[in-house]
Amino acid sequence: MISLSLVLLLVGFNAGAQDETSSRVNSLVRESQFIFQGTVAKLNSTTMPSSLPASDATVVVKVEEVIDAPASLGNFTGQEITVGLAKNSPVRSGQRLVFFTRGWLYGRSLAVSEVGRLEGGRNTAAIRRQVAEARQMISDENLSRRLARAEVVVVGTVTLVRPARERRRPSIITEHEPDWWEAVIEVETVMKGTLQSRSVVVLYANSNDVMWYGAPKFARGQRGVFLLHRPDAELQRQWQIQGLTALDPLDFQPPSEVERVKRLASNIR
Amino acid sequence: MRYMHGRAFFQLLCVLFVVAATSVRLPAQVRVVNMTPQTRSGETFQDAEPNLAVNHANPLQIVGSAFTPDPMGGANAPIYVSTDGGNTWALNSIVPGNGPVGTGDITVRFGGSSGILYVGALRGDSSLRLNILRTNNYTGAGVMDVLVDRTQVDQPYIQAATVLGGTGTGNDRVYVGNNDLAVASAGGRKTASIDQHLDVAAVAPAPPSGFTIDRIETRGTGGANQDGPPIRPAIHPNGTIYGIFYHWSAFSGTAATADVVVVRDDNWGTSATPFTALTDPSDTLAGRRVVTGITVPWNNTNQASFGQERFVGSNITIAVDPTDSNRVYIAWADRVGATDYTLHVRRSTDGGNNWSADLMTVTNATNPALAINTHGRIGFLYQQLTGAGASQRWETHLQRSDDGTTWTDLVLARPLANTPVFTFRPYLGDYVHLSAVGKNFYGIFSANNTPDMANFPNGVTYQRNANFATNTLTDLSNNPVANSIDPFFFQVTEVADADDFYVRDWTDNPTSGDSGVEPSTHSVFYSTSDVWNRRGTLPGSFPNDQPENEDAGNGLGNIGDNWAFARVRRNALPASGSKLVTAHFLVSKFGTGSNYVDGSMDPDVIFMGADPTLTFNQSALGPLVTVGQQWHLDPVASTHLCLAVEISAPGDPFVAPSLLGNAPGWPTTDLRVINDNNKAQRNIGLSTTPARGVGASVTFHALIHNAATFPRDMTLRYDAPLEVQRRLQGARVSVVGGESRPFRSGDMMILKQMQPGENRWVALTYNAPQGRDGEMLPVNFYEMVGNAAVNGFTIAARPSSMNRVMRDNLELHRSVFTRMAAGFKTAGAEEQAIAAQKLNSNRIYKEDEYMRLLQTSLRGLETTVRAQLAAGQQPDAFGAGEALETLKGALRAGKSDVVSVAHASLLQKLDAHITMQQLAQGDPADVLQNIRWQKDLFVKQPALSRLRCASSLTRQSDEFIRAYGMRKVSNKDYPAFVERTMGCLADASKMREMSGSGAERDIEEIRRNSGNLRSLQKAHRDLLLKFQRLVR
Repeated sequence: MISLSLVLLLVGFNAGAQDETSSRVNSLVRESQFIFQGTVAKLNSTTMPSSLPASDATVVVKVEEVIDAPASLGNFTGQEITVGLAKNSPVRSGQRLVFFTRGWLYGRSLAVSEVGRLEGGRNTAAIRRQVAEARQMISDENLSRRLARAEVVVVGTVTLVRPARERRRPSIITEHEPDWWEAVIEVETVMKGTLQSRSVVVLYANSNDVMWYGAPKFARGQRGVFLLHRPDAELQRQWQIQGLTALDPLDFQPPSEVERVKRLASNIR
Repeated sequence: MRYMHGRAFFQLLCVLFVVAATSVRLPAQVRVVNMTPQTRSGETFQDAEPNLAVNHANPLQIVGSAFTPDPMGGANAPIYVSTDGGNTWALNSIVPGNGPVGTGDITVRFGGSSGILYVGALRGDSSLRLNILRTNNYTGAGVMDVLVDRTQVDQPYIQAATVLGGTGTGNDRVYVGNNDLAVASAGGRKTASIDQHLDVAAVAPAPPSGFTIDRIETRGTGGANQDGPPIRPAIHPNGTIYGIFYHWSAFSGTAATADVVVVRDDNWGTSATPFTALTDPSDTLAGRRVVTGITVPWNNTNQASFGQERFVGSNITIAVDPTDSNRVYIAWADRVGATDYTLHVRRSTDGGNNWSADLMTVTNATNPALAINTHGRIGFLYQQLTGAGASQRWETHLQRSDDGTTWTDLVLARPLANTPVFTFRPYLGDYVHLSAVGKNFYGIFSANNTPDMANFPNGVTYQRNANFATNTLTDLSNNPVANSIDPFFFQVTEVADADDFYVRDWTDNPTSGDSGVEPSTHSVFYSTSDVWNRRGTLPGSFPNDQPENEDAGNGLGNIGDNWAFARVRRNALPASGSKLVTAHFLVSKFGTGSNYVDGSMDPDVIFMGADPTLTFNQSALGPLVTVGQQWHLDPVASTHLCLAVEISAPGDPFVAPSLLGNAPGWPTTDLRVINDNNKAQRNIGLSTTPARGVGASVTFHALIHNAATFPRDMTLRYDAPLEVQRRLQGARVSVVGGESRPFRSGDMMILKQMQPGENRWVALTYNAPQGRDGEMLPVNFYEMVGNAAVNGFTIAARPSSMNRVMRDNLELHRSVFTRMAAGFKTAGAEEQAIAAQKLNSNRIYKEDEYMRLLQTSLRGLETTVRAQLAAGQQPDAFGAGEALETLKGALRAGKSDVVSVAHASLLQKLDAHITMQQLAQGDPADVLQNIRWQKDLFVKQPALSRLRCASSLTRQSDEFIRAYGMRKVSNKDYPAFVERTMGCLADASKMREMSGSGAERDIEEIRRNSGNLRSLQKAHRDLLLKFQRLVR
């Protein structure tokens, strides 16, 4: 069953409508994970008949050009995949389209759910550029949200890591215990918030338990941007911690991102 | 659950003797599949901690889970899905809360026959946040419904089942064991919990969606302040729910001091205080402690010597035998010496009250998982670290055993343990999973995915790009890919499809029928099954692909001749050769509450000739129909029957114990039929009332029989679906000779102090309701022990066409008066039977002819009925005289439909009365009960157990009971058995304690009646009753 609320059909792509189109592409990219140009090969068909029966909402599409995809997906150029069409959005056999999709089934073949589409068959450079811009914008938004929630944002270098000294024993025992450590950061620049001294201590989950797999781990000499947060009520209740923390993958940015973070941080002040 | 108009019967749920199948077992077939899909050939993630769900209604549908993130980094985490029995897999991201590793801890189960998938998971985008989830389309794109959403929960472990009989039939029930750490945060200390829902398929998804939380820990947890992480439930289809957990009493940071505790609830977790059925004798608190004070090591992050895996005390498991809810296996891990991590396996055969010593221990192993198949065969899956240094390997073993003593080992995988290097803990996972579906085992484990056949001694198939010659993996562009941890699915087939023969439990239409899955999926398994009766030698036709059953005839000569048929299929064609399938038929004289009999063990039911056989040649898939086996039903026997078949073939025996010697009913024999595709049952002789509805009442009686070996109060609970309650307004329930009350669904009544083998009757009276032709309106009765329904029956109103009603009434009229004539020589009875037989044999039913028969024979009918009621010493307990007057009034009014209801009511009462009179003379169906009872008395009653002959008598009784269950002896061996034990019985009757009891007269009666099974049983029972009085 395919039932997506966002359906966008754009026929034509002229300059006069470019702003409007740009905005719509942005919203499509926001909903999409895999964007490609392809030709509708078979109607009412699938490439995965055992797990995904054919219906009038499934078509087989030959992928001609991948416009945007996660690196981990692999290369599907030249392959036929199944597209679950957006609701009430039929296609014609042989039609060349740019599909904006989300992942559905990954088996012997790939099945994706359509979010929206553009008419294809032309140079895709403009679309590529717009998609890349939209991706950057979305990435910036995500980081900006994290920056907005941070109490302190600094550029600095880790001078010491050690087991956390101040924390109390948590009231619960679990294999997912974070194993709190603290990193002492020598601060070069304060991008957000205020500090009383040139160094700051951040709590982080040193555990290699699966629950903390994506959480930043720090090492002496590590330089970059640190987004430091007060633990929310849930974290405080679970782990009995106080102080500043860095637990989200976005909470550490490498030195190459300093200028970008500075720009984004300036916008949220 | 059985549907029956007329009498029914209760039997106490006993510990069953589970005997290993005697036929030759064929070697198991093993299939191991790397589950990473072909399109994910480039992935290198640590896909650890797997779990698996097989749809029992369609084992081609399987779902797996692991620490696997969404391939495109989307908002939802994936599950592994297969629609071809695990040969190929796909990822489908429908679990809310994708994080860097997908979800946190996740377990998956299908509802038993609903096909709905349930998931218990910690979200991947939050810390310790439990979601309980549901979808009815596991390959669809829709995100799963969130039923429960709360925080501070660890290790949700889900189990699910569809209720197949009793209260709540058809409901999906879900149990999620979890460590509810919110309790610890609040200082509560008792964290072991089970979230449960009794009808989860239909509930609206608004968390907590009606889920309730049962706290299963009853003891203080000392300095630990909580229990260990794993809490595992297990479900038996009769509603027995077990739970197991580590009770912690101390925690040092590197080890927990723990007890292994098992809890049980006997009624789907609905007891007033759930999960308290097991208590520990040492402190009388709920929760049986299997072992105490064990040391469970804890090293989450820095374990150097365990193949990159950690110790976090998450290794505990439990499985209950689907053939016997008292037979339970558990396994856990602890530290026995200084550095080991040791698995222990133990067993209870009495519902968790007592436990064996270790049946098996495995050193340096983790991830135990247990399952028991429908043959009672136990499977034990675990992963063991072997070797040393760089040669260390993680070996995944599946051990199988029929008795817990002799084990057969299958090594499923043995890759190197030090590669790849871990990216997080756990390396392989804190659990794996094993399940049994029917006869077969299905499981999942995670392992190093290096494509090397030496790592997989029983073979393996990969979907992802793998070169076994060079031992390398490649991505979609044929670039080399580093090895990693992948989930592996496996199936161990105990009976190959080509050797698996089955008899359908149900057929809906030519395109929808039982495919042989175990357990079968329709709760009504007794009305369209592929075992049926005919009154001639031909099998009849198959309208709608359903056998056309004919009710059994009782009587002398060919009137009592019947032929039993079965239709047999197999699951797949063999490569070569033919197979012989043998069909063994059994009959329960359900109308007298009797156990199943076969051959000539009951003088009223005689099977003639050898068991029919079918030859399936190489190209025969079936269905093949047996020749009819002729059987004869004596004139004195009621035609309310259950007919059953048990088929056997080389390599595919029926699952012991047989139905033989047991009465039909939920959950005992009903589950044996549902669980074993070699067994099938059909209920015969259902009565009907006019579908257009009649303002007249009809009464049906149920026989309540104490089949226990001790006196007891028997508690009956009765209920009906809401729609049936509405349609049967004004119905009444009564105890014959006792109280009468309005029917209210959910009420209970108690039958006080019933002696072993004693019979009493309850009655349900209602106005014949309107309905569709053939519709069934069931009212369910259950025998309750505590909060658990241990047996039951159903009385169903069955609206039908007038033609059908007249036919059924005439046949019952013939049957009842045939019983009177044959059993009591009642004047005029034979003429009544002949007249009804004559009119019924025309097979053309006209209401005026039916009325005329009754009107013209009314005077004779009245005389005969009065004579029957006057015979013997039993009063007219059922009110047959009053029913006769009602019939006379209806005939005067001249309304045929009212007459038909009054006629049916009279016949039912007469049938019950005759049965009561017959049972007063003894009952061959209770032979086995006598022997069980006798054995118990000579074991438990001090004066009897002190007799020198007691141990010999006990041993002989045990041997007889066991042989009876295996169909090696039968009632015909009973007189000889009694003769062998007569010396001991006579000694007992002469004891001082028996002085003046009259026991010596019973001894004489036994001797005098050795040639008459019925009278012998009665005399034997009379003696045992006197022995019973010695028991305080």
